[in-house]
Amino acid sequence: MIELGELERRHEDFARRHARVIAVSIEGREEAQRTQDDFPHLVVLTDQDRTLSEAVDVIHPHSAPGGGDTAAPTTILIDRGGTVRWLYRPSRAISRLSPDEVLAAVDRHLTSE
Amino acid sequence: MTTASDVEIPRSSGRWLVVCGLGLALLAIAAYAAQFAAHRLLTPWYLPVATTLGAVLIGAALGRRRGIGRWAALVVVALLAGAEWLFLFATRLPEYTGPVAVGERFPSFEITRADGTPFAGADLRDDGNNVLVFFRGRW
Repeated sequence: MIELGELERRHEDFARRHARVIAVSIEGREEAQRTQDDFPHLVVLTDQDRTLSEAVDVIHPHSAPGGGDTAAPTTILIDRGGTVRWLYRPSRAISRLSPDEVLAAVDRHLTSE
Repeated sequence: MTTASDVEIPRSSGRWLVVCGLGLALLAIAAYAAQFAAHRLLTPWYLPVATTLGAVLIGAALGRRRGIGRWAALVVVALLAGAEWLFLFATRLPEYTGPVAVGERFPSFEITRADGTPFAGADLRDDGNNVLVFFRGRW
């Protein structure tokens, strides 16, 4: 959740680049709503039935604290035409991109079109 | 007559090695806590490396003088180093080999927003660029 908090804190920088941050997890609606309340400038999606997470193949089995599945932390940049411009997955589940790194990737792959 | 070679230099008991060893292990944990508090989510390789070095220092102290306290310190720090290595290796993620590829269209989908309203792949094409972030969960 630190990652989302950092992205929320920099929401104006994303808005300046005409980029919105969409956060997806396989948690249910109740958790997604709480996440949305915590981070009002992000678009929070719930993928409880894993439609999207399985289509993108980001399910990380047995990685939740209780032994359940989670979505492997993955960041994908998609342009306004729906084309994938960049994909990043850290080598460790405890690593994340900083907002500055995400913004640099946006500048490099999305705003130079 | 006493020559220089006869002078016996007292050998340190190595207590400072124990202090440094324990200090390194504690410092590494404090550094990770500080990194977390600063919201820097980097892989903390320094954590098991420093703790392992701490165990080596305590082991060296044991070589100079044995004692139950030193053995206990070595066991605790060595176990801690093992747990930290395990933690790092257990969090390794497989490389992405899924169907999404740069330059290709993002797969179509239909799911819901947090408020229950629908959100589909077409919505990605409505409103500027998108940074799609899959996250593990609220915990």
